[in-house]
Amino acid sequence: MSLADPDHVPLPPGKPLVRPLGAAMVVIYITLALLALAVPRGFVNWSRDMEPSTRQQAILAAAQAIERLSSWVGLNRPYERAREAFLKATGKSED
Amino acid sequence: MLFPTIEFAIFFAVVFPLTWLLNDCNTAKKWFLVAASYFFYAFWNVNYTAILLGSSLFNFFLALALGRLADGPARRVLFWFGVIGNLCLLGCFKYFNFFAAEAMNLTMSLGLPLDLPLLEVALPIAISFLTFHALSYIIDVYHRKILPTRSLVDILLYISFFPHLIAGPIVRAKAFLEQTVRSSNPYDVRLGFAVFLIAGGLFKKVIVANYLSTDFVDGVFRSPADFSRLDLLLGMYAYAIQIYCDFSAYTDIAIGVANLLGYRFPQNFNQPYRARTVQDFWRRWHMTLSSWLRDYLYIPLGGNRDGELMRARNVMITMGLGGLWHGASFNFVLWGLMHGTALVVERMFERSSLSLSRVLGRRLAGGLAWLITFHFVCFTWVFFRSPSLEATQAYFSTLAWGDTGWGTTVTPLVAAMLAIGAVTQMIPDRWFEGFESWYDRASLVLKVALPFLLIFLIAIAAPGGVPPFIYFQF
Repeated sequence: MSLADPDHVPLPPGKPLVRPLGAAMVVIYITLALLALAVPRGFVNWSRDMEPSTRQQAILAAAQAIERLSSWVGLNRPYERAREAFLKATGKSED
Repeated sequence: MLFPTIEFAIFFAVVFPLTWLLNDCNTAKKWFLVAASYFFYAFWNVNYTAILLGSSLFNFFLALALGRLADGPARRVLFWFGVIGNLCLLGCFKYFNFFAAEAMNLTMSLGLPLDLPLLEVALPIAISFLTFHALSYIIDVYHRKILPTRSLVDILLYISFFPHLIAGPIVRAKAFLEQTVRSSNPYDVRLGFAVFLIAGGLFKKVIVANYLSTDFVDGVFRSPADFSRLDLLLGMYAYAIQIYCDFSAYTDIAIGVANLLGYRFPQNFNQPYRARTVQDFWRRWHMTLSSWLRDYLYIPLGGNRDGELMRARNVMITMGLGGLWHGASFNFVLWGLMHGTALVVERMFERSSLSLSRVLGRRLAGGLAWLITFHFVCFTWVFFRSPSLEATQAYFSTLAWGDTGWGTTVTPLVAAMLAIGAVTQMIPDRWFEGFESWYDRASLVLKVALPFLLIFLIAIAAPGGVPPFIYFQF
């Protein structure tokens, strides 16, 4: 439902999905899980930056476990290599 | 909590399924979304949730009273009490120090020094957008365009709903409250549409806006005298692209997130730098603010009803106040007034017999009109971006007369971001529709692969941290 405003360009009509919520659920969770495995460093850095507490330690431990798993399977390698290449090409550093 | 962060991803991963699990019990779902929105807001400052709650309660009860009263002086007084109450909230936090400082400067120059206390509090985030939403509600109730809702949770949700809470888009009370009456329809979720907006928004903010800001624009505006004239010229274009990519990214993500939760928000941007007139620019830039200012300020002031002179006055007041809304600074007021002047001048041209198309031909005239509009908008962005009038003056004087040469510090990465930013203005609408249609027909594997790949690529090129969105300060 959008504003009845003639100045606004209406949002384009979409074709309803057959099971939109199921599809959305799969897309959201699988995407997040794949990202956690493919870019585990982000999750580890994020949990390191949190305020120190027992909860933070638990989250950090979980993030490091994911990182180890990712590293063992080799899922983090494409990201690490691509990131390195990007930094080299642009002359930027990780900081 | 910023959209392009891990905490927001986790927050949304929890909120999304619970919202839909509660969908059959609409009231419980709305209370849950209110709680989630307050949690989202409390991430910045838990104390300021009291402002959110206070504003919602104030407007809820005021609207109920407005709905009960018959038309007459009492109703009018109550209405103005509501408007002034909302504006006072905004004025106290956002403008008090500005006006107090200006008053002290003025009295000092008159030899009558005045000592006013200044507020030592941080500006509550989202206060402007909160006020817009609250005013939209009570003004529409007063004009009997909508009935006041008897459901407190509806107003709490309308004011605080986390996708639009911080930086819009400004959703009219009528449009939002119609959606809260019944449970959301899962078939209103448009996955392709949401994926495109969220992934596109992440790209615009995390990559384009951030690199333009950190690698070029911030430096150029911090000390313009250290940069060449070419850099300053490119700095205007770069900031134009940066602010578009930053702000439109926020509202794109907000619209996509709201859609995934079953709510529909209005479009807020439509390739604004394609505009061939300033009027057209305002139909494409922050569209929900433009229509809000038109409906709740320009038209009540008289609009174009009382002749050209009054129309010009109303345009100038509307744009001047629109500028001031962006921040307590003369730079913002000037920015608004320059746009107002351009709108008035355009109107004069429209009414005169002068026609560029007749002299230059349709295509050339169109190109020239675009060139003038685009450069006017970029020129005024310098006022918007500079921290003070002195800084603006320094920028333009170096640009015009500086002896810093015509070399450039633009890196290939910044040049690429400028080019990508320009491309965002050229993508035809039908591509978007085609993408959505393709995505909806794609297999589940492709449906997952595409957002994963897009966000993965963004992560590869992302800078170390994500600065707040520009419009958070407004």
